[in-house]
Amino acid sequence: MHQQLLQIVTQQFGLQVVEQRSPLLSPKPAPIGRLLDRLEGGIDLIYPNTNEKTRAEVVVAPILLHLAFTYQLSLYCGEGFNIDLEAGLSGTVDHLFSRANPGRSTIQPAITTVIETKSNRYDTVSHCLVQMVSFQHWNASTDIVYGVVTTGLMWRFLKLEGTTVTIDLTDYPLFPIHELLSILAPMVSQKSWKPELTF
Amino acid sequence: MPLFLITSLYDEGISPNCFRVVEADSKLAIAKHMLGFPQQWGYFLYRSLHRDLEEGEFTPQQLLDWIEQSHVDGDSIAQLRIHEITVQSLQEVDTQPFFQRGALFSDFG
Repeated sequence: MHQQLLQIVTQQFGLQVVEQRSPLLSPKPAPIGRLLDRLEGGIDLIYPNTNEKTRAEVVVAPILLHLAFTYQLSLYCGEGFNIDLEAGLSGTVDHLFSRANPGRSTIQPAITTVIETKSNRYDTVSHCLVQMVSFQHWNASTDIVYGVVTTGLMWRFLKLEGTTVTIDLTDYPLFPIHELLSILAPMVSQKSWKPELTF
Repeated sequence: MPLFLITSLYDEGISPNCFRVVEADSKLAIAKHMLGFPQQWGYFLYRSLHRDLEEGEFTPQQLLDWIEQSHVDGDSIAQLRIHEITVQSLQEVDTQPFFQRGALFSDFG
C-alpha cells in the first residue's frame, strides 16, 4: 500500500523519484550543547510500541528545539495549514522549520524543512512528501524543501528540488547524536532563500 | 437494508478519503467483505494495520473485534470504526453526547 500511495503522490505532482544511499547534502558539524543530557532521560521511555506523541515529545522535539535555538530559526509544532483546499493540500504538520527569525512576524515565512514523526514506520515517506510538495507551493518557489521522517530512534531524509524528490535510503540512528545533527543542521539552516516580507 | 458509516481517522481529522457509507446486513457482513475483498478495503486496513492483511489471519468476528480496538496514534495509526447509522430529519437532530458503546473521553470535553 505504501508504494501505491507514493505512486499516487508522485503521479499527481509529476515528481521523479531518485533513491540514493548517501547524505542529501554535505554533513556539517553542529554544536551539541546540553542536548545529550536532555535526550538521555527521555530515551528510556521509548520501546517498540511507544506511541507517536511520546516519541515526538521526548526525542524529536528536544532535537528540533536545540537546532532552532542554535541557528535562530522558527520552529512550528502541530500547526494547521490550508495551502490549497481545492487541490487537497491542507492539514496539520508535526514540525516545520522556517528560516524566519523567531519572534518576527512574517506574512508567509519560507519553509525549509518538514519533520514527520511516526510511531512505527520511518520508511513510509508518502505523507511527508505531500507536505513537502505543499510547502513548495506555499513558498511559491522551486527552491529546495527538505523532509524528515523519524520514529525518534531512526531517521530518514528526503529532498524536493523542483520536481525531483531524492530519498536517502540510509537508516540514520539517533546515536551518535553528533552525526545526526551534522545531517539535520545544514538542512534546517540553509540560507538560499529570497528576502521575506516582514512587518 | 441498514446503513453503515465506516471511518478511518487520524488525529488530523476527517476528509472525504476517510469514510464510506455502505448498505450491508450487519457489521459482521462488512468484516466478511473486508476479508474477502482486501484490495477494496486496503487503504483503510493499511492505515490501522500498517501492513497488508494476511490470508486467514482473522475470522470476520476477530476482524470486527480488532477494528473496535483500533485507536488513533497521531498520524501514525488510524482508528477504524464501523458505525450503524440512521438517517434523521432535521427536526429530529440532537447532537448532545451520551455514554454509549464506542463513546470516547473527548466526546465529553
